[in-house]
Amino acid sequence: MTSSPLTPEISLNPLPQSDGSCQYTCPTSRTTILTSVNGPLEVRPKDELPNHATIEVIVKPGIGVAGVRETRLSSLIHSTLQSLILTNHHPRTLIQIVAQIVQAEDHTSLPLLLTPLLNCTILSLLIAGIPMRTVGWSVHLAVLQDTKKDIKGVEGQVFKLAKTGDGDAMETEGDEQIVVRNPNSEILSLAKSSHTLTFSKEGDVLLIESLECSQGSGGESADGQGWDITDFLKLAEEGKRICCEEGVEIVREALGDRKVF
Amino acid sequence: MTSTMSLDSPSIILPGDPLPQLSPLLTPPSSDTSTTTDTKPRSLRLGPGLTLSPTTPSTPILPYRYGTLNLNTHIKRPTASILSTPRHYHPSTNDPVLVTLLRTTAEQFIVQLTPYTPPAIIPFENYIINNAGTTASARKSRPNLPIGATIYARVAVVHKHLESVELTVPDPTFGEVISQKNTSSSSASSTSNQKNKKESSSIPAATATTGASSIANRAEVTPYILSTSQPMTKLLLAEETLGKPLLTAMAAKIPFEMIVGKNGRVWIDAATQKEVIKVVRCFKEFDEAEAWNDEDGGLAKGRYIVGKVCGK
Repeated sequence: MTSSPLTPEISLNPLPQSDGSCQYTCPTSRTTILTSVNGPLEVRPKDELPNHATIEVIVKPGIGVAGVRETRLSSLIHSTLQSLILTNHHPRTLIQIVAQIVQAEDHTSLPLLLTPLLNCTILSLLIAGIPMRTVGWSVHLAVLQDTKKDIKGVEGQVFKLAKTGDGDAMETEGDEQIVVRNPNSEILSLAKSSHTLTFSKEGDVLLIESLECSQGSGGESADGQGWDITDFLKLAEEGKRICCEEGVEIVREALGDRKVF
Repeated sequence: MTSTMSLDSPSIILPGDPLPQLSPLLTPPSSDTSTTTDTKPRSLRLGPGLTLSPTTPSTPILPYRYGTLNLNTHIKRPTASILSTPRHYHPSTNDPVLVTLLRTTAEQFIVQLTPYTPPAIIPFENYIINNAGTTASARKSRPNLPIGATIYARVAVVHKHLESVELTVPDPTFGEVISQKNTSSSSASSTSNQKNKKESSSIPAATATTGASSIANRAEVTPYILSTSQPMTKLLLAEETLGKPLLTAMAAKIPFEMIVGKNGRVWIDAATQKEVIKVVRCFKEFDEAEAWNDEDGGLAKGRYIVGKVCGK
């Protein structure tokens, strides 16, 4: 847990003028996100909700102008945060979240951006003191099919083995799957499927974004059913463990350094 | 887990954490035989950062901000809140604040609490002008405050569904803030008690001596209203603990008076204009350096800044 490939670099409050801000660097893909949270602010009359705060998420791309991809990302973040933020504490106000992609290996890859974006946003929400029901954490897992051909010695403990097969069947060498946590774009390109899982501290699912990557280890699994459900459940269990234990620990550590009085 | 950690160092509480520390306060001591006087059920008062949440079964009392738990296990009035220093001021009931008068309407003063929120109001019936409890409702007794006047008030009503925060001036120690040495003003009495309220109490003797001698050139002295960050405000309010290093160093050099509003405004007055500016400089530099994060709570940095600004 303390090893560098798993711990993101977090810098809190880099922006002096915002209510809460955070810069987050993914340890493996070096995706860097800068988010700022402001709120509660005055809301535009057309967005005003009589009993709830309006949450606005703006994702700014690293290159080019914002398009469909950014809208997709912001709607994913929005729906995740909707269940985290206690919007009824500040009715008729606006909570504005701006996320800037500072650096990314692949500016077009949704799964590579989503986890850093979510984690960074959650940290800045905490800093800003926005009322929240609980804390969530997001993890990105990539499932590789081919065990033999890739050597990914770079990341020590990043990948774990999840035995596939029916239930708790014995390890048959061919059916073994490698799960890489926080994959970078190189590993993701080899992946069979990619899963962005977000869990709350209590273990409730906040977001599942699964993607089949047929461009990876290829045609054999690209049948539209890139993963089977027992594999996925095991994966989700592992993701839950990572989010609830390690993720929350990272949050606690990051915030513990700040002096509060 | 958190309860064991909180014994040695205040541990960080995240939103949604269960608070086992609170459970002894929630259950009244029924087994206690000697509680003849303590018949009525004790109620735990929840301060900022805590809310009741019936939807989360694990934690009936839900912390919704991160921070450390501030628990007051007073027998009569147990209270709990989450201590955190957000960047902006969130008003909560009974906070002393320094506000600026924007305009006066038929039944209230409209004041600025913070620049980033809609204006707050002080209804005239909340504005008590003397010890007999006379309010400013009657036109005759109403203080004729100029626009831009600074008022020391207290937060009375904060409700999320209300348009504006309601303030009160509960007694004559509150009210318009005027330099108390300025005897010509009509509301001098209203500020006379502020001296023992928020004075740098570290050296009361020094301030007492300067009082008389400085009246001569009072005319040239304008008090200063300094905007401070939230941590700095909390530090200045806690003059006996957190703020002690800075305030003792400051008061040893220059006798001054200050009134701290929790909304991040500090009113500073001293015998001469030069001294006012010096105090302001010190506070500002201390704030910008975020010296409270230091190991020694800003003792060394506070002394250094005071020494630099005021000379040896």
